[in-house]
Amino acid sequence: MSRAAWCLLLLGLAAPASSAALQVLIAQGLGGEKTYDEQFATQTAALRTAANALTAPANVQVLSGAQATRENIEAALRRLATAPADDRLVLYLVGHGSFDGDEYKFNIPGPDLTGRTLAALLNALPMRDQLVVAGGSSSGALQDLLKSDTRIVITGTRSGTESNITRFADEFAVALGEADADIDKNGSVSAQEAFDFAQRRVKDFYQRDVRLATEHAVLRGQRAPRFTLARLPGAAGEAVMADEPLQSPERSRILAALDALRLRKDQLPPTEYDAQLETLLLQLATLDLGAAPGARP
Amino acid sequence: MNRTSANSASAHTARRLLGAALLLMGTLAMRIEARGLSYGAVTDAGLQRCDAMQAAGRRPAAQECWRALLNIADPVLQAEVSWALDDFRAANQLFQAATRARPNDAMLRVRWGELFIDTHQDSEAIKLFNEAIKLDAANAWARVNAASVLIGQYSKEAREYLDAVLKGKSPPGALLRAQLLAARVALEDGSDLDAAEQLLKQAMALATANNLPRQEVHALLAALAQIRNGNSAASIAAALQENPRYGELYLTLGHFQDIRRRYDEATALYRKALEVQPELWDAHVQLGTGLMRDNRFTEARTHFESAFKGDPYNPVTINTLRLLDSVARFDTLVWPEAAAGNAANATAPQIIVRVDKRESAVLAPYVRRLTEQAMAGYSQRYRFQLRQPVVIEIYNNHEDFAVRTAGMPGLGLLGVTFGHVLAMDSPSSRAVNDFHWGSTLWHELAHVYTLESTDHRVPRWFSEGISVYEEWRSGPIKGVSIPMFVYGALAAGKALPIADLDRGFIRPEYEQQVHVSYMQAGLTCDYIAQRWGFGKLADMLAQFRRGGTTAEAVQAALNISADTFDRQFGEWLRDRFGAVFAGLKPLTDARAAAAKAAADKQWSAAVPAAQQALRILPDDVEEGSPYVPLAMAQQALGQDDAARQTLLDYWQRGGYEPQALGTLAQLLYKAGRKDDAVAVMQSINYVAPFDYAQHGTTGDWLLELNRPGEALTEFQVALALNPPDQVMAHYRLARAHYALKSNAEARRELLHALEIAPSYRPAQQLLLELAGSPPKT
Repeated sequence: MSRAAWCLLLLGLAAPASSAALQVLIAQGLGGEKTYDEQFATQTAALRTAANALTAPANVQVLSGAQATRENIEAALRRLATAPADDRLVLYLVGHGSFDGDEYKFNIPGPDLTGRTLAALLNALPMRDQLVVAGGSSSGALQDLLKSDTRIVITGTRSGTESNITRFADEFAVALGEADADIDKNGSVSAQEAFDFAQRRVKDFYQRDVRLATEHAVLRGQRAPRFTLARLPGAAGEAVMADEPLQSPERSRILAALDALRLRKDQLPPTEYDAQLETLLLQLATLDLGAAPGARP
Repeated sequence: MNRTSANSASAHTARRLLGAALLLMGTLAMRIEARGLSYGAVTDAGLQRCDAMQAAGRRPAAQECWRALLNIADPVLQAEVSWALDDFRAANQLFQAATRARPNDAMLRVRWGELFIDTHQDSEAIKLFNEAIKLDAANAWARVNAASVLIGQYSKEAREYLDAVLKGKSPPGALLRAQLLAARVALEDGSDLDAAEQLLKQAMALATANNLPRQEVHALLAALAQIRNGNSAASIAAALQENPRYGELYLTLGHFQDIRRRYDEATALYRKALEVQPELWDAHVQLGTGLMRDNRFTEARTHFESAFKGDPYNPVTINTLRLLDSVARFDTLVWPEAAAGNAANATAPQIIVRVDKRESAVLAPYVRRLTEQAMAGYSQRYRFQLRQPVVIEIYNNHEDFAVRTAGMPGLGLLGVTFGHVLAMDSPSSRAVNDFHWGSTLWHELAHVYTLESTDHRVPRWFSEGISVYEEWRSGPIKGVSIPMFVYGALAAGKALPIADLDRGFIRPEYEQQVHVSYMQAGLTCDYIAQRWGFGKLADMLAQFRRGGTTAEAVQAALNISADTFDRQFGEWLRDRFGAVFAGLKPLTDARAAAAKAAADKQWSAAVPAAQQALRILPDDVEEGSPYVPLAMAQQALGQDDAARQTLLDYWQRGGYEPQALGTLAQLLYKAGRKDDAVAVMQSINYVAPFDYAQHGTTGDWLLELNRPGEALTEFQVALALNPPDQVMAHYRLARAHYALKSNAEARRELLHALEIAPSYRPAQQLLLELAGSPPKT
């Protein structure tokens, strides 16, 4: 058996060993007109596809159309109260928001979901790792309401007063299936990568059309680079979630050594840094690709 | 001009024509910032005595005299004296107080307005002159001052104000000023020098009869002699005899050299002005401007700094000092890089480029390639080797470029040539696809040759004509591309006689005439080259170098009169464009129908409409070109081969819309025509060079074609654009270096890539290959 095949087998065996599950709730609000309904449905479809590739279908809940009532959203979140604390939660709010200077409201059929209600529901959950993505208008009003040490909050605007329809939400959904978003080429898209991609595309749009930007997305939360949101189709078999132990001990050792080396970059002469970096990269390449015997270590 | 403020036709014209750029013209009004001669507007005898000392060049005595008047408790007198002593704030406050006390005194407002002119606040000045006219409808002083401001603003109203003074019962001093102003305008216009002379004779007689200063009359007579290539010595001597410190004499002479683009001569005259009158701040400004046109920024700055100390109100000074701060942060690139004395490069033309540091790595390879190509071609075709390096300034802030060109923001040009120095907008200074910067550069470089080879004697129309002709025939986008409204103007018989074509540029009589004149000039050169051979264009340049007029150059080079030329050119135009002239209405309708059908995705309707338009005018590649909706429709209908051919026609005729060309490149690539695909992609760099993805793809295709050197350039540019995907950018560079057998560089780039993405398989694979241990497959 080649080393590469051994490696893949190990990854395949390792995957189920993770006990932490990813729980995903997608709530799609009212569009108000056909164009926006279609736009939101497209976003939801992309988010659902990405979620289904990462976790069991039972862990992905989608509420849209008449189902996306405040009652149903609250119920869906309450159901998660029984999930283990090491599970991770992703909540996507797809659609328009509004802000009256005091209260953020997510526009859904029937009574709207307020930011304060949402904060209370999320705070009541046992999961430590939570990610909320609200890319729509006025979503910036959620930033302060949802602020928490373990929660990542991504909003399409920086405040409630940015109330125009956003491009960010569309681009964020696109990012989850876009190889260009995968900056570190590990075959998956992290929350940070998706945010960066969407932000970049939004900036390009406004610059290209020489328009004044009416939206400024915000990401808060330390763990966004390690919170995986999508696995790209056809990605090479390696760690799907960078924070989960899905690789061989040898590979983990090399990656850890690389991390340590990069931290010491400023302390080493460039030639020495490069030499050590090359050594480790060759080891990793040899491990990943199975170099011929006699490969330089 | 920008896309929001202009109709689409003229906006698009700007993309090529103003991309084609104007030669710099001088401003009509010169500003003399110190308190000038009053010509009798001031009636106080004591003040007149002091002013006379100033007018005779005895400034210290005049200053002493003025200071003595400060003790007299007359606010108007004190205002005049404060002004004369350069205390503008005090003068302003005193005039303000005096006006409150004497609200019906028209002359008070006139003088206060003149103070505003001196401090460069024209709109305030005009208000006061108009208030004065309301108080005293016959006030000639107010009118002549208003005219002086309005002339500087190119306002047609100026003439009315001026005529009222010239034809009315005006005080001799006001009439003299009006005559001098009218003479100055006539001299700047240049079309009727006899009229200017007549006005100056009248002015001389009037000044003599009324014992008024004659130094300005002498200065303008000297300018007239200079324009006629006559002897100005007597007038110069007479002016200096009246006032030995009359620096404005040389400032005036310099100005008239400037507007004829004789920049070296102008600069020498500004230096003389400062020798005679060192505190003549406007001479510092003009000299600084002239030095910048000659790439002498360090010396220029000292003059602008001097000007600022003496006249802090001049916006040109302030703007230019800010511009110089910006330029100080530019990169200066010099090609060839070899040190002086390298024999191999001793005869190579030298190129100096000033460009913002953030853009230099992106633009440099394309600017260099295009400039070297243009210089090689122009040197050969026009039989002229440049005597100085070409200096190319590229401004990423359009307002900086505007200040560089005219001292003030708000200019609608894209490029300007001063001689061996040219300045232009960077493609980043405007919206993406707003103009074809490669053509602008090509056009400006042609000006360098036509100006330098004739010692700046080439008439405006011929220099523009050659530049447009070269854009069409040898530029980065070839093809005779003419905006629709120009066809309309030509069909309506608006072509000017060749001997009078400069008028279309300098004194346009209808909107868009400048653009029409550009095209007529280009077509004229095209016609000459086609009928008599290209060499005749070079022969005409030689005629202009000898100082010949257009009519003389035509006669000497083509052996026909200008009138005969006009008749035959008109026939040629009708032969060539008769179908277009006759079909303008159906052409416009078919264009619009094609565009609308494509916008509505009515593809089967778009095809015949676009084809009908193209049958009438196959060269229609301007904005709204039918080629684009036609190709879109063909693609939508599954006819990729037809779409490819349509876009290929569009490109080959000079179309440059980047998105359309990107589609063309992809279609060519899919069809296996990789060389053509690459050529199309490379051409996009001259419109939209800031797209890293485009450079990446072009580089990839070049690698496939085993052209790693060119690929490396594209990848280096892509990296300079700081793409989000740094891994891919470094990996691509590694591939190019590897193909060039530069293994050390390849390794360095791979380490960059893998440092970010350690598991990136293609980079890992190449690293192993470089290490001599290719992966098992």
